[in-house]
Amino acid sequence: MTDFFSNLSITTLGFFAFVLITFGIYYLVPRKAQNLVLLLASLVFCITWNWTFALILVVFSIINYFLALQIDSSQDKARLRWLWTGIVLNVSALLFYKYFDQSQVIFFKALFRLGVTPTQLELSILQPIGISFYVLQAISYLVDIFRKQIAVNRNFLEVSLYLAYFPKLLAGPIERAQNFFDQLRADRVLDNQQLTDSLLKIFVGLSRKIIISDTILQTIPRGVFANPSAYSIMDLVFWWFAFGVMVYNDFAGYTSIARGVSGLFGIQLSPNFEQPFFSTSFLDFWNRWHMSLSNWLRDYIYLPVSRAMLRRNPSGRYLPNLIVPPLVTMLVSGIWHGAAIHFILWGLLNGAVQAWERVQKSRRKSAAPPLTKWAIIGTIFVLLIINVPFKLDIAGALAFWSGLFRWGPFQTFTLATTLKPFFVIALSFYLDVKQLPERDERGLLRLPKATQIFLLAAGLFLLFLATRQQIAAPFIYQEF
Amino acid sequence: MDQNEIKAKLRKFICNEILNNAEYPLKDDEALITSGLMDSFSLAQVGVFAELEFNVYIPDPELTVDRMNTLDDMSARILEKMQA
Amino acid sequence: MKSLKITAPFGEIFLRSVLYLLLFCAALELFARTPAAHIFFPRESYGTSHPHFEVQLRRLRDRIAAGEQVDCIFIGNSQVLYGLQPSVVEDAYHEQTGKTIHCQNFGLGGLTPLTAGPLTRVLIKNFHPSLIVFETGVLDYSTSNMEGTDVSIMSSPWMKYQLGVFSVDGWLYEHSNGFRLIFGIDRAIKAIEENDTEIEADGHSTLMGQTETPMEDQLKHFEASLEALQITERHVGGLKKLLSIHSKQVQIIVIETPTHPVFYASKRKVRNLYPDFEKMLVFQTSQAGVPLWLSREALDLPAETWHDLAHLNEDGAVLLSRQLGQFLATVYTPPTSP
Repeated sequence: MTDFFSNLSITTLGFFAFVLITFGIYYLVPRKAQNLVLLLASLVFCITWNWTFALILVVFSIINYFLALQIDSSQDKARLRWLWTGIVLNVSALLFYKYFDQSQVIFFKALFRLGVTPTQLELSILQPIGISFYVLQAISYLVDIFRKQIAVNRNFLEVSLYLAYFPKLLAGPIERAQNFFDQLRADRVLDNQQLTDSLLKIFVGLSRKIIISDTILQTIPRGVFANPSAYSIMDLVFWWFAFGVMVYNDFAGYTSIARGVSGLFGIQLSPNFEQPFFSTSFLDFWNRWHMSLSNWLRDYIYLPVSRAMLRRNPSGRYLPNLIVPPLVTMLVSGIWHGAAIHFILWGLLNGAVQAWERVQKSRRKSAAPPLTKWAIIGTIFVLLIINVPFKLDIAGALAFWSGLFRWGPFQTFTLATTLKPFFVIALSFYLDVKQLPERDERGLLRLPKATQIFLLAAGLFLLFLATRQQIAAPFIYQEF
Repeated sequence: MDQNEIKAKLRKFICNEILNNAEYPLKDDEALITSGLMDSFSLAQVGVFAELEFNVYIPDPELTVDRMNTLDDMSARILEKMQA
Repeated sequence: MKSLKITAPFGEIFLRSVLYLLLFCAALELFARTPAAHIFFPRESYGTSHPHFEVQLRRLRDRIAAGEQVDCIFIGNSQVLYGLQPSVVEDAYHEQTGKTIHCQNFGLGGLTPLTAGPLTRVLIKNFHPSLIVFETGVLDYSTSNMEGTDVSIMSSPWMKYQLGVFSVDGWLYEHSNGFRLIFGIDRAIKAIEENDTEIEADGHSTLMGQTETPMEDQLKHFEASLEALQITERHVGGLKKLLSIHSKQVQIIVIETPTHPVFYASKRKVRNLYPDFEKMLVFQTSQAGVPLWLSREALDLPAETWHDLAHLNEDGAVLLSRQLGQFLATVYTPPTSP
């Protein structure tokens, strides 16, 4: 039983049992107590991973709660000082937990030597779950108060729930304070339509994660990424594309489940993905991929940098104005994803193509939008190439890229290895096409009833089969 | 300054500086961003233009597609800030 | 409950899809129990990722289902799979004793003593043999070798279910033909890629042709792993567990895997392994009262009877099987059929 409820990851049966229990209590208690139920549930959720994670979260909430009050009540320079105190504290906590190899800290080494069981200790100094995500939320809360865009929240419960709310704790979406607080205070009604929407999101999310993403994960030949120089362009391109579809479905699936579960409690979380494989430009892609992060970066990095530069030289054709902001933004994104050179390279490459796109656009006369089909293919093609360092370190990425110039046969093209990936990639695009018109899962509800019944039955069957032989692999984005 | 004056100045700025086409017949309710005419990056330019030209500050989170997609949207927001 | 406003009818589509799904599963199960299913879907899965395990299990089940009796099962690694031919053993036994026994090969690539014990229990429970022959060699006792096989077999839900650990999957693998059929399709697709060995109805397989790896490379490889080899307590413990199954009803017999002559002329460290290993086998089997056959004393297999440094070819397999049959004649009497 303790195993059942340990490390509650979002596709485990334990997680859904946990949601069900919380759901029951939540709708039994009066409205006033509902937020408290959610906060307690979130802390319990955290404890299923490690009790120290819950403690860290509470400490984070207290610090940010008081920082917000300080910023709000101070003026001018003191106000700015408090804001920077907050930013530095949050960022350094993130740096410590995320980028710092804590097992190398002398204190811990000494403990290991004294015979403290490493497994316990290792876990307690592991990266606390969701820290990359709630640190960004804390920073945006403080900045918004500093900019007087929102009123300071004196309700500690609401502030800590903003950081800790369990459906979004593991990997977002990264919510904005005002939107979240408004929902915490609004009336909550779960009616048939809401429930249908939520269950549909959970179902689509599980399908994306378990049927599509996990299947690809299991079929990708390990050597393709570990030793790309042994493969030819055909293998590399096919499996890299499959990997892209895998990461997309992994994360979009997670988000969909998180939003569905949250919907059960009457709280709407922000969308994170809008069919990114149909992007017509690099900018368009970032407006469709991990949108809550893109929006955060836009509001707190891109726009401030861009405006500061435009104030010095308002020309929209001045080259630094076009190049520097996207580069800086994507560099920050790279560093946020991980403390490795290859993430920095990844960020710079993505920044560079966006800058290139902007420069092109600034020289064109009132943009006649390009042919959509070719724009999509071109965009995805370039993105696939420049996103190699997201997965591989520098040496691996170089080996991978040089493999793209090695002509040769499709070595891994056997029925056994490609049948399933082909099927699930097609499934991924089917779901996307159905979601395109409304940019949402709801498109599936417009299908004829018989089709809905068939899809649901087939989905349940495949989910059942896919969960038989393996435990779902952890979400890739949880690691960030 | 009324909304029409704001709109006229904005139109001139957008056509000259962002669309690179002074003759472009930009309509008041024409979608600028969702149509692909300009990208959301360029909203920073509109934001700074509003600062320099009308002396109003539009906060970053308001420089979004759903709030600044047409000349009508933009001018209304600038007017609102001027009157605040 | 004011905030919960769910009104009937709700979930019609869901309920209907569940209903159709159940109907589909029932139809699948019915089909899987027909002979036609057996013809069109010759593979079935028990949830392991081992390329031989499921085929071997099916072969054994088919024999039992056809009303045949199986007295004796050979277990061990690929050296058993390719090196022991049940029909030759049966004939040699018959020549010596005038009695007939029925043998099945259950060789699994990479099997080690760690899994041999639990596997034997499961085989006895399901197929009621009166004799288990375990062939084992020094290579089975090192951690560096084939842990993958142990993991893939022991983590199978079916195996766990057989050993008393209940799970829904284990139950389904045991009781639902449809379930085994669906995953059998998956296994069949994988098998194409794995290019797996054809396993005969009696569970043995024949290594054909020449090996691709040159002798010197093979020798280098084996010498390296033999030099680093240390017989672990864990593996010996596995052997002990197997030996403890030995009883009047089910006899266990251990035979030593034959060794290619080249190793006896190898480096001293490698040469010395064998006497130590044999000493260990003698000690453990005598403790358990289990008959042991040391192949080095019993037969000398010349180099031309080997397919590669680890496996016998068909000629070698016939020689070894004949001698095993003769040995069995001295230590084993089949129970008189009731």
